[in-house]
Amino acid sequence: MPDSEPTLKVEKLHTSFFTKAGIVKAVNDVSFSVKRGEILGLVGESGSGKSITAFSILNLIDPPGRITSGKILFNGRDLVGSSEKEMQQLRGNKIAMIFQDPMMTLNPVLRIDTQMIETIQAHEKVSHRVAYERARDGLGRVGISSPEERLKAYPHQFSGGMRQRVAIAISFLLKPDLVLADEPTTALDVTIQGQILYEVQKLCRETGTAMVWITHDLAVVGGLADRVCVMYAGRIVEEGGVDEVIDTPMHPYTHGLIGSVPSQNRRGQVLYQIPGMTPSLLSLPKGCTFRPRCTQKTEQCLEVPQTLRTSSGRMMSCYNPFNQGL
Amino acid sequence: MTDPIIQLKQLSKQFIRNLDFAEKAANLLGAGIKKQVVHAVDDVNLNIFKGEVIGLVGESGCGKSTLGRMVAGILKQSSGSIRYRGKDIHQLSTEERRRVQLNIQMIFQDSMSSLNPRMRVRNIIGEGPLVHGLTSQSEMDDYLDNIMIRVGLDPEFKRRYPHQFSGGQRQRIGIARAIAVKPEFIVCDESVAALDVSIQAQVLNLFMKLREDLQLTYLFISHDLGVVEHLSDRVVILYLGRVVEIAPTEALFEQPNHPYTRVLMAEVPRINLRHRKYSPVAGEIPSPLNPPSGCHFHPRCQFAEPRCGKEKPLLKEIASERFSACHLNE
Repeated sequence: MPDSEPTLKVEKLHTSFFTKAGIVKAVNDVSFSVKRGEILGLVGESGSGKSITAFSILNLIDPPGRITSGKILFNGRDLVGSSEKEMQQLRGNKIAMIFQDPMMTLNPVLRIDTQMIETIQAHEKVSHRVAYERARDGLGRVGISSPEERLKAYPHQFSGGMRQRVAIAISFLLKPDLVLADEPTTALDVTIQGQILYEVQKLCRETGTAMVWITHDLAVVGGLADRVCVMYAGRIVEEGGVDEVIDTPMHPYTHGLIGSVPSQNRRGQVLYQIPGMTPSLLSLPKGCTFRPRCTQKTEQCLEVPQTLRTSSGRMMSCYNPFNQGL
Repeated sequence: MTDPIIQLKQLSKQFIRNLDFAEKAANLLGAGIKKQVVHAVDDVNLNIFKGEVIGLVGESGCGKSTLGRMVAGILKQSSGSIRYRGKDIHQLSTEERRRVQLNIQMIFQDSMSSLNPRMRVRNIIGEGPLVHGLTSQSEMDDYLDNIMIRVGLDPEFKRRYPHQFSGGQRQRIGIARAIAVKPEFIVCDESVAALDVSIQAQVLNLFMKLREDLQLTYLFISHDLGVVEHLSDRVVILYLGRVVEIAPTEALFEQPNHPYTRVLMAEVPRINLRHRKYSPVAGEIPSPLNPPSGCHFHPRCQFAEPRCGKEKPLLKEIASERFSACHLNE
């Protein structure tokens, strides 16, 4: 496979939930791609559809939800419509996921070694001995001291930060091509967060794993990611290199989001407030979904804006963007 | 300088786990099992002046919430004293204490679990002022409208229940409940931690506006240094129950003194810092059940000397209004 081909390419993905109250379009026409060794930040607020995007990639959408159209190309192969068996072979093996709360993903009644060895042996025919050694090395790689002893412990005997590191170690055990991380450091202290970002950055650079880092924290994305996608109400409204998007945001939503982050040089000043509230996905406004809250809106915005690509590789969908000269 | 509004003197809190039956029995046979003691807050001295915002920062388990709860009167201290305008709160008569503690209110992190799900907003906000005679049943509606408008809630929502609101609105209800009894001092315990960025900005703006409108004083507890920097006048850094540094915000962020503060500052995610090379910090916060000897931070400190493992460093003035507890300053 040539290096230029992306590990993951999502094309015009639509995921909807068919509830009694109506159709919820949680993911609406989402397209993005991630290359080998690249970290993509997927930023959005609660309910913007960023987690559902990750679940769609792993084919983990339960009824009443389903992927209604679009393509998910993983190493060139379309995952939409794959059988459960095919997905099982990929999950945890070629595509791994790290969740926000490791207490929910680790089995509380099994020791760490059982869980790690099980993961390896589910996908590869190796002896218990070899699997054990790989599990031990995996723990060592995420900075857990005396891994041999820690392997014998149960999840509740670890602190929150340690548990998250175990979860990361498990996700990287089988050298996946793609890791989806759903707010993995949101619940952690800054010093622990720093350690985990360090481990993740190192693992991605070393193994060439592509990563999608889902978060609402723009500051973390700024420090970690290469590129960033901003989601609002199920759509990607802006995409580009991390420097360009944060320094010169074009979409009014991105602009507002960045303005509302407390930052060093504006101490004590009033923070920018995006007017209004996130709309319910059940009754999205007509046209541009951000229109009712937008300061730049015009008559034109009653129609869904087309996705525009600029020459510098940026993408955004807005009729009246900021920093238009770019 | 004027007298402080709140004065903490050698304030400590220990949580003790008593021995269970089996352990007592084992002790009779000479097992020598000791009670487990957690020094959640250890000998904290702090003066808070009228109108200022104190940011209280530390990692989970460092005792910042315990300290906040003691100041708010929810927990009783093990030793030391809390003075309100010079009067020791726990020496006062019940009647007087009730009046004094009305001036100190608290806003919690999780608005869903701190609001009674079976009470209407009207009662949640109105119960306090009614009980304390700040309003009467007949004037209640005007009183509530006033407060709800002040925190940015539509007074039409009075008859609703907490679950009918969004996270940001619920946090506003919590704020309304706190200011409804006209306090002077508010303890905010991670009050914006669970909110989305854009909602967080709204709530932070509200805090700043209320401070100006009502001349409030805040003790703002948070692990988010960005938020603390934005809001606070002075910052207190707590590590395993002890204060390691107190400084005016600007000076602290420009030139942190204590090695722990420096580590914290280095780890703050900043929107202006891109493509960072993260570096691993040695170790994690140790268990408060069994804290390291001497300076609590010495096992993780890159500047530690032999002395740091033996002697407890005292909080000393290192510059005007700046205090730090580190042997290296000598």
